Amino acid sequence: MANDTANAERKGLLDVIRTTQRIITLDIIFRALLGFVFVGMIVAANGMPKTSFGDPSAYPRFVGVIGLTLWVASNLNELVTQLRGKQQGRIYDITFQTTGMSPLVIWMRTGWVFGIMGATIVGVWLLNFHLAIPLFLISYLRFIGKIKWWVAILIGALMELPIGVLYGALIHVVWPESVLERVFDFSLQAPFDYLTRGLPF
Amino acid sequence: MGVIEAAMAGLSDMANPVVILAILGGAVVGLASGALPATGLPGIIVLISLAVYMDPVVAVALAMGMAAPVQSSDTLPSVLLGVPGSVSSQATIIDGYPMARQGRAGEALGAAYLASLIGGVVAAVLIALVMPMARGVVNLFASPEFLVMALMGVVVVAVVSGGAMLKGLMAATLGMAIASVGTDPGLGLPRFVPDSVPYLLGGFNLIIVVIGIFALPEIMGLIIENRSIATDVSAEDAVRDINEGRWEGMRSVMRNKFLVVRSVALGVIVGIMPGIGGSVVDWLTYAQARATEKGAAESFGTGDIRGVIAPESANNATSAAQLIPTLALGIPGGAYQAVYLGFFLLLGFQPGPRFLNDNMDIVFLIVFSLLLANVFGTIMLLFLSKYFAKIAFISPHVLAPVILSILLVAAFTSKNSYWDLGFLMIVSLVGWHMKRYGWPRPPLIIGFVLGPILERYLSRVLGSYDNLFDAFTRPPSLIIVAVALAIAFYSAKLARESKTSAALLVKKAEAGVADDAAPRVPAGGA
Amino acid sequence: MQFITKISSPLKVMFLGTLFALFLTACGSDPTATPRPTNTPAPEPTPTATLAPGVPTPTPAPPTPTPTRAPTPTPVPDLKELARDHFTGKTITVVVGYGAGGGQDNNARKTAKYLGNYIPGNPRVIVQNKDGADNLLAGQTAWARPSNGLTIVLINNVRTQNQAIAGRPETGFNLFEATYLGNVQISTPGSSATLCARGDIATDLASMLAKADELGRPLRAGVFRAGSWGEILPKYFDIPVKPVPGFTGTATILQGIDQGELEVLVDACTYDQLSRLRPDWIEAGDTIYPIFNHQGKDLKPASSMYEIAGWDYPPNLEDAMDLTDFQTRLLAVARSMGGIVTHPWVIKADTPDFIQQTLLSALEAVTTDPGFVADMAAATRVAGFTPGEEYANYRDSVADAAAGDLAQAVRDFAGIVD
Repeated sequence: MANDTANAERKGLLDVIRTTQRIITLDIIFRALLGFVFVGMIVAANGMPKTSFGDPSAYPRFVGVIGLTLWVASNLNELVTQLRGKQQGRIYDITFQTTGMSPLVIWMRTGWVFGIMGATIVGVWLLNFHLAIPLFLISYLRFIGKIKWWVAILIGALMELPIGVLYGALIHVVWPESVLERVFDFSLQAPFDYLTRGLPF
Repeated sequence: MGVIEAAMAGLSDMANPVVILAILGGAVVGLASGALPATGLPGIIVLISLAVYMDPVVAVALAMGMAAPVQSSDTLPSVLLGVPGSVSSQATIIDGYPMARQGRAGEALGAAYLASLIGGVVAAVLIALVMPMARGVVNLFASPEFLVMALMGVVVVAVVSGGAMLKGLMAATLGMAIASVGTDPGLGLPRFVPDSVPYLLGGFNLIIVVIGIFALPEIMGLIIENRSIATDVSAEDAVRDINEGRWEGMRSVMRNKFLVVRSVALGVIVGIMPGIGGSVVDWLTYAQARATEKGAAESFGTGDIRGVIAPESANNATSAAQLIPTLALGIPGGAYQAVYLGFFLLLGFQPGPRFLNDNMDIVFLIVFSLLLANVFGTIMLLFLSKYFAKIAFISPHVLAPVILSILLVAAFTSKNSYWDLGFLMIVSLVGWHMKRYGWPRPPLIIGFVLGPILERYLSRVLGSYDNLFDAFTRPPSLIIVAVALAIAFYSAKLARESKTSAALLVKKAEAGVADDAAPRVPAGGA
Repeated sequence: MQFITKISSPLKVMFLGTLFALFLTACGSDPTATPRPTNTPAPEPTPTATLAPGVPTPTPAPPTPTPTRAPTPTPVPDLKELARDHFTGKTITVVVGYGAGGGQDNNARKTAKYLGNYIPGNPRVIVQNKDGADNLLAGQTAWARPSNGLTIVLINNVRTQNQAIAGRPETGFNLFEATYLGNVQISTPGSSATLCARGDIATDLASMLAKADELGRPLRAGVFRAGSWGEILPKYFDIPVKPVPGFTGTATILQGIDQGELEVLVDACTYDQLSRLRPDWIEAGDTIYPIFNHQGKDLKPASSMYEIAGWDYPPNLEDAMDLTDFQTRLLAVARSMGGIVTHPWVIKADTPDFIQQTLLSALEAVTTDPGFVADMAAATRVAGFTPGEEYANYRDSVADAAAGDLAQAVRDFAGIVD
């Protein structure tokens, strides 16, 4: 009896979760955020000072009002489309081709992609581009891409050409000091600057 | 200096083998720049560093050699990877990338190269013809015309949104909202900038938005879908296709002569109007092709060669035509031209009326350099295509991390700040969502680019004219409005016709299995 | 999986050959080649009318007498040795707050080409671009680096102005603890911001006022930022001018006159701008007319322009109309704010003295290098040393003015909106 009650409660909870997932999709959250952006622009515009030179609030207000109007119209249209069971019209853009793929797999891979991007960016902050990018490439190409060690290392090393030589030594891009460089007081760009020290610029 | 004298002087410069080497060497660098996604500017920046040490004639030849083939080679990543090679090759992706997936990359590339070559050559010749009267030509377009062109962008948005017009317009408005972050262009007041993020005072950089909205989601797609780019054909068939497809692509260009003419004309007009720029001309021409070509409503977006021909004809034409206001008036035609303007100043040339009086020979040197570099670049690309096309068969877990690395470096160098990377992540989330949930992405870019133009010229029009009627009844404004209305009307007519045939398709589709890769049936929803 | 691991021989040869050709081209160019504009205006002792018929050329007058200041410190031998030890094998980075190719970037690159020759130890001098936040990010970048003279930043006057008016430094960038080394250019003699009217609008102040009355509205002047003369002339001097925002530079404002959208020029009507961008207006003489000289600098060095155009010298603003005491004082402050050449070279004040002296001397010496002078002249800029003291004085005078009854007007001129 107690088990039946527990099972019924679990089923009820699962039903609630499934229903919630049907209603509160990511797209609804995205739409809500869009509405927030447009409303926010109108509110911020009201707080901007008017000057004899011009009105800085005019454009944000214009965009906010247009955006909000479109937002309401689009949401209503979406609701009507869903209620009538119709599909959206074709758009001129490339969508994901995930037919036949399990949603769990799709989400895992999506998380993986954002995860590696985020990890690479953190790696850049920790180690600077000179180390983080080649390390990322070498490890990903070897362990995930399954290519030969020496090819992975070659590709990783080749990335130093744009980073260290082109952007660093020739264009003098300001690479920020990474945590590693700050702690050990050295510069990863220095060897490339040394190699090009004979250049006049 | 008379025009004939100047032309002869320009030709005699070209007789110098060092100048020819500079053009060809620059073309190789330009090809490489364009072929690497989102890295168009480094070459010219290195050249600026070198310029103070170089002979001015050689420097100009090198710069023009670099400039010309970028708009041709930037097709490579757009078609083969779905990642824009530069900001003016976005529209090519919509039809070029599906063609690569179908194993028709050779056809797409061949068409793109010839279309680009025609656009580049026509615009280069036009520079020579128009330059003596350039000021009069550029001055035809005053504030009302720019405002109307920006508003015409709304028409474009509606067209490129396809069957999701309201979503498209909302995306465009979102783009305008993103573009408003930074400083008010008139007052210099910070707008939507938290005190803790002074990075945003400069606003979002276009390259971050393009990479985040377009490029990164495509790379994500490779990993999520776990497939190489070309899935419908084998590598052997693809190589055979490259060899034969290149010529078929070029034949397609000749079959669509009038489309090429219209697109080049539009590219030149947009190029002469400083500030509108190459980042929207490809969408403008794509939209006009979609709106005016028979059957385009159904076939564009699925691998229609005309969807490649139109933007590629225009973007080379625009980038060359942008040199006209840059050199004749000292007003840069676009972001790249602003750098070229500085480059010419560094060499000791003063773009503006003085330039036309005193350095007309340099104008002809520019023309001849562009012509040579365009032809050389096209030949190189045709030769190299079959090697590049193999990219479409590389494993996604090899290709994706390499492209991702290049994009992260390119994004960082836009403002040399960690915030570049942080905002790139946020923008790529938006791009991913739009791709995942069927929001058209091109309108966001259009809104981002045209929004500030709209704001700036709205201020100018409101400040410069007592009476808006006077502003918008100027002949050039009327012509632009008339063309926009014609496109809108013709597009609506074609859409009505396509709905009828779509109704028939619905019946056929209901009998079969739904496929995400196939175009969904237009159902009138937005 | 197909993977490209081999490159075909012909392709390799072609690629390497092209790279080699490119390398030869770059190396084969004469590294001392000077730019080849066809009418390089070499400095002449007196301004002449023209070089080419009817076409005015910006012929720089002899440098105006250097303002009274302390004698330029010459590094004594032991300082030279110290400097040599310090700078040998090093790289000096000049941080510019604009992208590559901009006007100040060009100045910096031209200076960088010669500067190392005048510093003991001959360090390499490179330019780094760090644009964003109107030079603030460039300043913050430079201030985050050690005070060892190896980082110099070019900073626009807006940053100095804003900090002086606010009375406090900005985050990560403190111009109250800065040494202004000076500037490598001076204002073109004869260039003074003059209000000019389109030919069909007015020829002098009386007709300009009459035109505004007739139209029932102020006359339109293109501006590209808030503040400056476009803001204070109508607001504090009752000049019937309305600033129209949305222009991105002088060239676009001049185009606005060509296109009939604008009626007057408040900032763009100077000798160097017109001779560079609109020599045909000078030649025609009736496209625009100078109305009054609000910047107040001496116009005689631009006599060639006035002769060719057939214009009378416009009166100074204080001679054209009766000014109140407030207006007179405001005019003086505005002239000092608007008159100083922008983008001085700046280092941190805690940089060791011998390094400061060395850099100061080197910067001044560069401005007399014939190659540098020619490079600048080719871009119609005048090489000359504007001493750093002028910028420090400017900062302090703006701070003083911002503290009195002129405070709001100073803020308006600086374009600061609360």
